[in-house]
Amino acid sequence: MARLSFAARLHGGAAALLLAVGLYWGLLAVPADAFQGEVQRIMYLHVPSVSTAYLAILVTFCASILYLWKRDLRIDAVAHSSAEIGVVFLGITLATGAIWGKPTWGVWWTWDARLTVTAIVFTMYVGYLMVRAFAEEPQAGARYGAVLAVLGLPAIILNHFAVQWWRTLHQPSSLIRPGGPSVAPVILWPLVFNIVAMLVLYSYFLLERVRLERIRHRAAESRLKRGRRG
Amino acid sequence: MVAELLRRTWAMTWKDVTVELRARERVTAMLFFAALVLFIFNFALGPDREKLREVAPGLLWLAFLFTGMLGLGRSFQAERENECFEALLLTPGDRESIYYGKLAGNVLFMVIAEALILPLFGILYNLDIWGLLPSLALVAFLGTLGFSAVGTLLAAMTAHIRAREVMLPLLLFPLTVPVILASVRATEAILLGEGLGEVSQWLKLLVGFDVIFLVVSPLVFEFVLEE
Amino acid sequence: MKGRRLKYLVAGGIVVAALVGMIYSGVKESVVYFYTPSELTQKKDSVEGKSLRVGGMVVDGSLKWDPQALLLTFQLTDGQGVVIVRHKGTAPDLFKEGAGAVVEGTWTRDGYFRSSNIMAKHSEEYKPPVHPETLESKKELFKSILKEGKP
Repeated sequence: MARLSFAARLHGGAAALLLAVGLYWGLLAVPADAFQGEVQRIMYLHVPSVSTAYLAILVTFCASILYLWKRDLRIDAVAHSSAEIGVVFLGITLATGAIWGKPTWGVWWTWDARLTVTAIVFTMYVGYLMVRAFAEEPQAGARYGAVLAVLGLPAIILNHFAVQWWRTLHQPSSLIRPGGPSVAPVILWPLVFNIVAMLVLYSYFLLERVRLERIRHRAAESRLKRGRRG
Repeated sequence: MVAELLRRTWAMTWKDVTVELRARERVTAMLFFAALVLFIFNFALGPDREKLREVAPGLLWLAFLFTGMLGLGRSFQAERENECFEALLLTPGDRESIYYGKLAGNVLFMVIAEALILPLFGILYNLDIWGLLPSLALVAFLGTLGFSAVGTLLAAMTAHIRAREVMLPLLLFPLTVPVILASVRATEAILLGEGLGEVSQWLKLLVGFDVIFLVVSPLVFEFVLEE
Repeated sequence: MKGRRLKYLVAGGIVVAALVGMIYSGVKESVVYFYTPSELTQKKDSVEGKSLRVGGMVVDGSLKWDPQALLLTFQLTDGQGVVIVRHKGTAPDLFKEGAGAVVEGTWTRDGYFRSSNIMAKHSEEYKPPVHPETLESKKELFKSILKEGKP
């Protein structure tokens, strides 16, 4: 039986603890936004999820380029795992966004620029995972996945601008903008804390998922060897 | 070097066109499908002419893209069915010529289908498009080029995986949302009688998309074909 | 091998140049996400019947709800112009007098805006509640909401 190493358990424990503290801070300890009221608190889950998701996609892109260059299946395992985690966080982002949208905008879903782009990116990477699942052999799946990830980044940027020109309703990004963030410090600090917690969780998932891929690879190899002997 | 690439690309395109001229499978299916789509829209929308005018650009592009998808899905079918993929890979020189050759064929077949859809659309739905044909053709060509640039690459990829008929649209549509958006908006503005200057932003987006994917797709194409 | 590396570098350069060029030209052209009430009153003849969006603050005391006809009537203002809006159906929770809203619909010949969708617009500023709410804080909120529509 494969047991988690001490370092891995420490890593996972730290992620859980940080998230627990961050969510307590954001959901219970600080006051809610003056205008939006209690629904604003979903931001403490929504914003960390979306930043983690886009980081995961960026990691997939870099690992894919590196894979096409070095042809090392271990690098591909990073790309694949990161994409999988990215899709999960994108799903959380879309779900929490919809829950936020209902009381705030009056609709579960609206074809607002950033919502639309996130949904497009989500479908793109679900497609990526499907291609990898449907490929006939692991090497082919790795190549197809890498090609899709390379196409994905310029496509996301173009999608962003296309949809931006098309329509927008989502408030401009509060954290990243010239002139510093427009969030009051009392709300900003728990938000930043939660982003960090989510990133620790992401790194934990990524490491463990890559390890799982390695075990799976080894299992497939030993099965192959046994088959040959018998 | 460029002359060599052009010669090989031309050979590839000419092969596909010759096959098509003999079999007449792909274009016939595309044309019939396109006519059918225009026919079905009528039932989906009902007789309201005003509503139709509003959604006309979107419908036109849906007809273009669905028809194009049909053609793209078949672009590597002949090689796969007759087990000629290895022969295709033995083409001398860079793999880029295979990509560009296939792309040229796909664009050609899609343009032929569009040349039928556009006038038929004008006649069936009583839209006065005849004076606007040059600008509509420009937008249609730019959109088709971008759609096929990504589509040809993905068609080569999905030719080798399970559930290929489903996977091609599933991968292609999210990636080409900018093309669809820009083409539909530009077509809308043109149909409303605005000049090309009014839609320059969308045209720029189309040209930018075309340039980027005409450069990136042939480069990664060799990774898709690798055996 | 050297030729291939050059090929990738040139390709990367073209892609980055194309993206930067588009972003730059996109920033230059101003895009209107919604009209302000004063803009709409200026060009109301040219936009009649066209589908568009208007954004502004809901005028205090202008909100009327007719439960029989399910008709919501209110006025939107940007400080100068005022537009009368009629909406069939209910509004989102955050939609209230003195708050920002964007409505989608058409300008009608009868001098009002027929809305098909109300979206409560909130500012990108987040702050804890201030007591008591002053006129000054409301003005600030209004300014930040208007700014968003005009990047």
